[in-house]
Amino acid sequence: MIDKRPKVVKFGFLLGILGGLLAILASIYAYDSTESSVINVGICLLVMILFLVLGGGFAPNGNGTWGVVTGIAAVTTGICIAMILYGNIDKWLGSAMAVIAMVIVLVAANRKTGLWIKANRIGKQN
Amino acid sequence: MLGFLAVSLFILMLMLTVVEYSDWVYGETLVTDLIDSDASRYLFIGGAAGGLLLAFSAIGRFEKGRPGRIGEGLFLVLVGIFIVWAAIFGMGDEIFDISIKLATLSFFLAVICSIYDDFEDNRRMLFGSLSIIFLISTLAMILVCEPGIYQIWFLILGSAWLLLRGVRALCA
Repeated sequence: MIDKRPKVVKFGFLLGILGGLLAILASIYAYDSTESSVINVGICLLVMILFLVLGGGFAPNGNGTWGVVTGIAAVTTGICIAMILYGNIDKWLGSAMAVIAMVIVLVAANRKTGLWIKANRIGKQN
Repeated sequence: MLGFLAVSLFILMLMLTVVEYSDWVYGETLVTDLIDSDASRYLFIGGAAGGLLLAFSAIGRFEKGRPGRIGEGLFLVLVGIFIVWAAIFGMGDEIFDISIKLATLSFFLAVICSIYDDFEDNRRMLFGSLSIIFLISTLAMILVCEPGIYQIWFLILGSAWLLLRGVRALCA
């Protein structure tokens, strides 16, 4: 099957997967064999889910409208910033994740992405 | 245009207050300490004039068929009125405390309404996303950081958000 996605959408897909992998790494770093660290691990896993959902939003058979994908990207960025402020994540890893999420916001808000989601993805699924 | 002026004036007066207040230490001095000092006259002038201009600028946001924009305008008018109240009554008065709390609440509600307006019909996704990031990080800052840090950052980020809305309105 030929992949007809625009380059910007493919880039967003890769960033989503990369963010998810970084979140898994952050969850490993967050665990320090104490009970309280389980909360930090849980939040990292939540961010991992959000990143992978974003990656899925840029996949040919993914879910979510243009607004939903952009909204989730913004929420993910906000949560990454909140995690850095709260200090329940390594600040360098958190900063990298926040930057990736911000780039995903730019990718998601791009007009080409919107056109592809509306015309090619949702249009074909219907 | 008026919103742009309101925020610029407020930021200028805030900077003058900080310069005039010689004991300013980042992270330790509260904004309420600034209001309680002799340097507060600048902040009160900035607050009163900025609030009034903000209220007038928000009236122009009412547009038929766009509930998000109407809500944003309405809550920004309230923010302007509450800031003017706070500036008139001054520190120590009970109305001052209530005005500040209501102004903060109205501001957050205005941000939420603006997010709704931006995402409705995919109007302005980037501005909407920035508003979401602003909302979550500000709330996190209020919950996590010391008052000395979050008070001043809330003022700076809030002013930046209003400036951004002003620029967007000018571009439109």
